Amino acid sequence: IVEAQRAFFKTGATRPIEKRKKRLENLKRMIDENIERIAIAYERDLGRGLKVAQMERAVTLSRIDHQISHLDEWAKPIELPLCPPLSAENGDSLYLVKESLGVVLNIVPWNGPLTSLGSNMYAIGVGNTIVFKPSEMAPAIAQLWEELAPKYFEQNFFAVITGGVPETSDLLKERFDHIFYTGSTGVAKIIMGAAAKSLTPVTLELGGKNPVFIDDSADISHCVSQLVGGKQLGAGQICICPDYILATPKAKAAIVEEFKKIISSLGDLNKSEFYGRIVHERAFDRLDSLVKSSKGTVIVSSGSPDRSSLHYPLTIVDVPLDDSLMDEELFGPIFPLHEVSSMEEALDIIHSKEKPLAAYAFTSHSKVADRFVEETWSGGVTINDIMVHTSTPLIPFGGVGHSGIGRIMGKYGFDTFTHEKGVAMRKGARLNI
Amino acid sequence: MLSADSDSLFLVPEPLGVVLIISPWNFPLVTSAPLVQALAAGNTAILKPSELDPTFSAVFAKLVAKYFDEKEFAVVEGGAPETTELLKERFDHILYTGCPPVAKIIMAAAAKHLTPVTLELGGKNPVFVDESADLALLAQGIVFAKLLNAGQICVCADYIVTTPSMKPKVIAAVSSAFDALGDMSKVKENARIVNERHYQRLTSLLQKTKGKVVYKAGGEISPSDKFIPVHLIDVDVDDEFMKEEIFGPLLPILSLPSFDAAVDYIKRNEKPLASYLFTSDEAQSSRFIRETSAGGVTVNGIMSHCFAPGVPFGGVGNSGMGKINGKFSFELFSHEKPVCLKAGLTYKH
Repeated sequence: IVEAQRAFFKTGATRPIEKRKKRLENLKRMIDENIERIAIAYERDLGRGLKVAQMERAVTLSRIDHQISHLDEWAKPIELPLCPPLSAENGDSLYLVKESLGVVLNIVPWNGPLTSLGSNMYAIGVGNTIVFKPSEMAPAIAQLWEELAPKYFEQNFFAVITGGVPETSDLLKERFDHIFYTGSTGVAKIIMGAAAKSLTPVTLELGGKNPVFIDDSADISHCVSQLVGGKQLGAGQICICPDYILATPKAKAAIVEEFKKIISSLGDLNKSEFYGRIVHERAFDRLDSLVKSSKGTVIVSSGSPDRSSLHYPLTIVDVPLDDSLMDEELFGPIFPLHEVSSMEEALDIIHSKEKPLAAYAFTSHSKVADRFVEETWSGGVTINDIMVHTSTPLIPFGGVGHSGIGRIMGKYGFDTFTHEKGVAMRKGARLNI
Repeated sequence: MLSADSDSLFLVPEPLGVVLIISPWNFPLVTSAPLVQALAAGNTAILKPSELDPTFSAVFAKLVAKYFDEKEFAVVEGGAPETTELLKERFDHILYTGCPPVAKIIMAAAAKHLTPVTLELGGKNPVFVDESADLALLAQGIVFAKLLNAGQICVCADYIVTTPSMKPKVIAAVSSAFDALGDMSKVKENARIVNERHYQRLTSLLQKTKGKVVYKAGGEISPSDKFIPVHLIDVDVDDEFMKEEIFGPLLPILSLPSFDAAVDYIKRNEKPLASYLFTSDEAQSSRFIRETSAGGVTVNGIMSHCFAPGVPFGGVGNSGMGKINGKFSFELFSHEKPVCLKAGLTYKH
């Protein structure tokens, strides 16, 4: 498959911009024309229904539209100003030519299927071919992509490979021109190690233990409502979801009351289609045992865990620092809440962990905000809200340290899958491509 | 979702932490220079210069210790064993300039910590000369390339590919340009081969080749001086000279029946760090640029695209990943962090 794609790539078939736009349009149609079947697959795999699929569809399509509308501008060569020894008098000119790489491997997770399908848009827009490996943890979705892709893309342009670890290991033995992986830190190390064998560049979108710092000046009801809303989306199984809370004493007391108030009025989230299931038994058991082995106290919970329906309730736990819930990324609907005496203490705790994908703070003091921005290191930051720094294609999305390498969204995504080739032309030669 | 009345959005460049720069022997200071941007971006830096430059290494290490606290910037000297030890540590970015086999080892070591890497490698940089080429310009470019550190530079011209009818003319033009320089072994400043191993590697290529030496510049091959005069060798595609990057003053010349055949040949091989084309045919040059890939290209010159301001310097595929040069180096060593502030707050740097 890889060889066939590389041969197809070398014919130059992916170069014309109009063809790339057509393929992006086809990606949109693949989503639009099959939305009902996609929603059914969402329900089967994730316990989330049509509304969630529609929401992801809207966001994904708008991102694809953004790319299509800017593609001409991004793909065209840029002429650069000259410095000695180059000069216009000598007939010199200097350009940056945007070049595609070749065959791109895109390995995606299960938690946002349409977003993940959409993530192919960057490599497609640049004129690369795609080998797409959806997650085996959402098998109905994977099968659907496998069935639909040949109807919307040329042969040898977009291949869907289904399967799990063995199939991925086989894939990684092949040589790609770029590997894009979204998932966990552990697997990312294996992928980067495999990529090293052929000097393949990688883009890794990982996660982390995304902290939320709340000080006494925060708007508590706004803050808790955002946190509850954020954790409900996909039952906290989203890379930029807030993971744990550090609150100063007055804020903590107020937060506890507010959580109790809001969560008791939520009703049983088992029925909520935005909430969905925990992805599988293994993940459920992991969350359950983390809570059971916690040395903290459960402040409030939206219901009871039910393994048969893979439902885990939204749970707030007041914890000490060395708690089981304060260790790894939770990726679930649990908020450990830890009281800190000051911002210094909060920063110390945040620094003791790996750089997360996102960091959040709620405060009305601009000095606190400034300090949080400068003294924490993360993929991105939102102050007084959550996830908003990832909300448009004008903002780069990516991690740092263990939360990832490289970035996507909008032009940043386009640039990731492009090789910007410097071209100096002398003696009157001019670029005409 | 965001409104200018109460919200603000920034991109904040953030340092990464501790940067490791491993530089090669051929241009030790220039290739270590990105450490400037590493420090400017707010990182600390560790430099591991090449053990094949022991004098430079020692002098630079001493000077760095005199001007910097080792917590900010330190030099670690040594060879493969020291580098292996260094690579067990965790860095926040590793910049390596050198060759693909070692780059693979470095990237694999970096993978264990998910450390991003920038690899500035090399390749078999082709020089395509077509029927409409200005041969004087070509000869000038080749002289420049092969005298610069005796061809021991990553963006050097590695081989010439041309058509059968042009080949004798190319050979003649290049030969007479070198003839005009005379015996370069008499010029002390003219570069020598860096060490015994590379000297042996290059001289053994001359022994193993099935090609014909069609020109040898002035001066004799000298093992004691490690001087090798420029040689032009007429070869076929399967010759020893066409296997690995040459990195020396030996220049194979290959003829292929047509421009198409040359483009195909270049496409079939690893993407080089640079590719060069001598032509006055605009359609030909545009096609070459469109259809072949390389880190960078110069048409009607050699290395003119390198380190020009605004042009990223870096390879693609086997010639490397990531880019340096000025602002690009700064960006390499920082994380551009998106920051969104709501409820009327803004960020004051």
